[in-house]
Amino acid sequence: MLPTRRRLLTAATAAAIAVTTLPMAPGLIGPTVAQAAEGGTVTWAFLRRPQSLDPNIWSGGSDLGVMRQMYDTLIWSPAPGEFQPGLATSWTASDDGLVYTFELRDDVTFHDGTPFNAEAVKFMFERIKNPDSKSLNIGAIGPFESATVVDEFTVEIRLSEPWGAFLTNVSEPHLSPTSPAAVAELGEDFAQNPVGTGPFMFDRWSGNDLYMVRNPDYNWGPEMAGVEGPAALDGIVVKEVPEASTRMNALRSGEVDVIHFPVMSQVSQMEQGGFQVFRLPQPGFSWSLPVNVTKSPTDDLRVRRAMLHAVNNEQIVRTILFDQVPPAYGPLTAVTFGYDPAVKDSFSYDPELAGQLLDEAGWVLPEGGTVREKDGQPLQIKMAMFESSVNKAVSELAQAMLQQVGFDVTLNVANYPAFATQVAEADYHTAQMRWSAVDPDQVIPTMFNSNQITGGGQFNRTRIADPELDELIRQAGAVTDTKERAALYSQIQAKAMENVWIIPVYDDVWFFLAKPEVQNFIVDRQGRPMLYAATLAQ
Amino acid sequence: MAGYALWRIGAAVPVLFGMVLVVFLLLNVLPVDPIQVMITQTGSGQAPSASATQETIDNIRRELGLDRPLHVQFLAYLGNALSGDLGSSFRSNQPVAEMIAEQYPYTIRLALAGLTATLVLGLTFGIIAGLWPGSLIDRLLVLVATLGIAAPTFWLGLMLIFAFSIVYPIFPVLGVGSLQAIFLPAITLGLPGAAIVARLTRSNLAAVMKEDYIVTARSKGVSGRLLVLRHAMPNVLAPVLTVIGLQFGNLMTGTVIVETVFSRPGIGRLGVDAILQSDYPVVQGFTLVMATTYVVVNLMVDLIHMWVDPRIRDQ
Repeated sequence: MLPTRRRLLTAATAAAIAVTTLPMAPGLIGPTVAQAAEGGTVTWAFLRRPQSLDPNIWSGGSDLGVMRQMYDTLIWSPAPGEFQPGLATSWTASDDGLVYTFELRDDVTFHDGTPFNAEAVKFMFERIKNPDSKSLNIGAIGPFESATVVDEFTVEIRLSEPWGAFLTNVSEPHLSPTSPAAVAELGEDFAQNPVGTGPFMFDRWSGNDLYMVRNPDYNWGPEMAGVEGPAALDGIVVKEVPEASTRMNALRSGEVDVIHFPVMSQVSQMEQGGFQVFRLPQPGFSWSLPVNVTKSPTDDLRVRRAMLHAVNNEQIVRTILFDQVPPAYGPLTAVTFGYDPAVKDSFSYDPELAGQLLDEAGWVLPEGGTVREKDGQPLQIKMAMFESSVNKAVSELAQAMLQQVGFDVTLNVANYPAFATQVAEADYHTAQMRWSAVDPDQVIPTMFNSNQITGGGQFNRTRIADPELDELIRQAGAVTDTKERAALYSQIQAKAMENVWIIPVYDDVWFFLAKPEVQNFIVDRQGRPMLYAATLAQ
Repeated sequence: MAGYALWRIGAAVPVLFGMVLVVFLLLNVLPVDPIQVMITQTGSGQAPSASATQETIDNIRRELGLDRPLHVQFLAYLGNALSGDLGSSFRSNQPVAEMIAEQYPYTIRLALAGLTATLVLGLTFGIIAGLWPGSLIDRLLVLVATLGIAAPTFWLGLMLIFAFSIVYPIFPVLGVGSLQAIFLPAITLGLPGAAIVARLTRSNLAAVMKEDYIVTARSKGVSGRLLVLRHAMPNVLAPVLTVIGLQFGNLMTGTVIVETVFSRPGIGRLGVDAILQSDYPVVQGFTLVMATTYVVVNLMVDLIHMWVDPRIRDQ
């Protein structure tokens, strides 16, 4: 229902743009919007107080959802490989793929009144690159080399090597221009007093609640929002509600309008009760269990294959996630650019086959025993997990499934830092992974490149180090032809499943629940709300 | 009396020093690398969207002084803490003192509201039960008090929300913003303490009512409210006061859960989040403030005790 409505709105706006001289009220577009009135404040019950609202420095996944409301990007991406003007009206790439030139809008001001221009774009790239800023988004600018101001509203970005994912990254909220004047004036306080160009402006903090008000001058929204001019809503309140059942209750009692991260078992009940449920499949790396290929016994492909056939992902999805998300079959989720449906045939739940494979590998069940042995050694593996939403429940079920075919699984559920330390020390056979990102180049290199085994976030939890694979990953990232890229990613996905580098469990889906009065609730490609387009029925 | 008060205040200093030392050591034996904390995001189970290089990691470690020997780090922390600088959060980079100053008033407000609930409910029910020991109402109150002690705060909070915000929408679900909003959090927080105070008041009052001086007062014609409030209660209250001082510790601990269930800001939440994320500077600051509060409250209770009890005062 959502994409259809979005298309409709996009079409409506496209028609409207043809007569740009006419002032467009958002209320004129689409049948649902017509019933809604201007104004009102949407209260969004949020998991936790956003830690920082500086998009260039901080990379907290859900916090970026808040930042979307206050910032704009140079370009917007309605679909994989498609881009629309944002703060940039047009852009070109040089033939060698090294220089991108952006023509900028000349009528944009930051919330503090200072003008947006080429200097501001240059400032943003250089600020992220500067080690003193300690930016967590250094990956979002990839092989960025330098930025040049051509004239007041033209900026050139030079890369040190071609990068297929550059434009996708430019469309992501990490690369939202921040007011250089405000950054200079506020220093580290900028993170709590953000100044962007977006449809809503930071107003104040009250306790842990964030108040935003409409930007009355806003006139540079993206086409994909389907509306023009300033936002219809007067403002947004982001209220910290850490406990999931309290979020559900606050929505029921009407104290908040929108919630995320619901109690899964209550989602369908709420839907029947008339609340809107938005299911937003996440592009990126599926929730999976990468298997350590460097440690015995999982260095044996037959053992890894046995694990793959022993874990029943469909049952996990049914029992723990109440069938609200799809099972995963490969490293990339089904909605990610480059996802190859062929992975679906790479395995199926088959505990008997798992037993056979273990027998072949020499791990046999002793008379009357439940744990397989080889040369007197029990078949022991360590599973590392961190405590967050359903992680514990899913891993406990997977543990039980592995034990059924004769593994002895030690499960360690810790907080994230302790988990990360265990991973860094390679003290595991399998450790959880999942990642939201719109482009496979933001995912695949991080998961399978040998330079991710040590250092950084240690996200190559498979610990696969293969120069040929590294080269393949590099190629897939550098190629700018969409078809060619997809073919290269297909190869990598096939390799991942043939060698059982991971046990895929489910494709992550984000949930938003909203009161029926909240209308035209649309999201960006990563499922972040764009409340710019939303209205409240009176 | 002033000498005693000074001695009590002086005694608090080594307590606080020991506490800071223990927390510092505990955090440093945990198998966690704080730099991992800084470069990852946990709350939503979301992995970071960009990765840091080994060089970045080394730089951060050097900048924070985490490559120095432990005792140097501790002395530096202590020195800064004495001048009010509790360091900066590993995650948000905000000064810890600022974060705590922002959240502390909410916790104190909640704790005081919880204390009020404890006193009002505890004393009222304790006096009623104590005046008519063995009666039906007494037995009923004892039963309720036992349940009050046994009920987990988390469950109690959710049940109160369900009953008084959803089924009978009298109070808001979210416990902040208006005077009305603090009612359910205060009851949730104060109920276990109220149960203890009620039971203590009941047994003390029942015993005091049999004392000779009460019999004497009664024979002189003193009766009703005056007899209980003027003659019996001062003797009942002394031990209750001590329990309240000790209960305040539980109350502060309880804010951690109540703040989560009712989505209130506060340092309890701040502390728990910091523990889950291994944000050491915040954990240290949180523990320091909690312990200081506990020590100060008990100091105040001692002084009040001294003031109401002539036997201590005259020593």
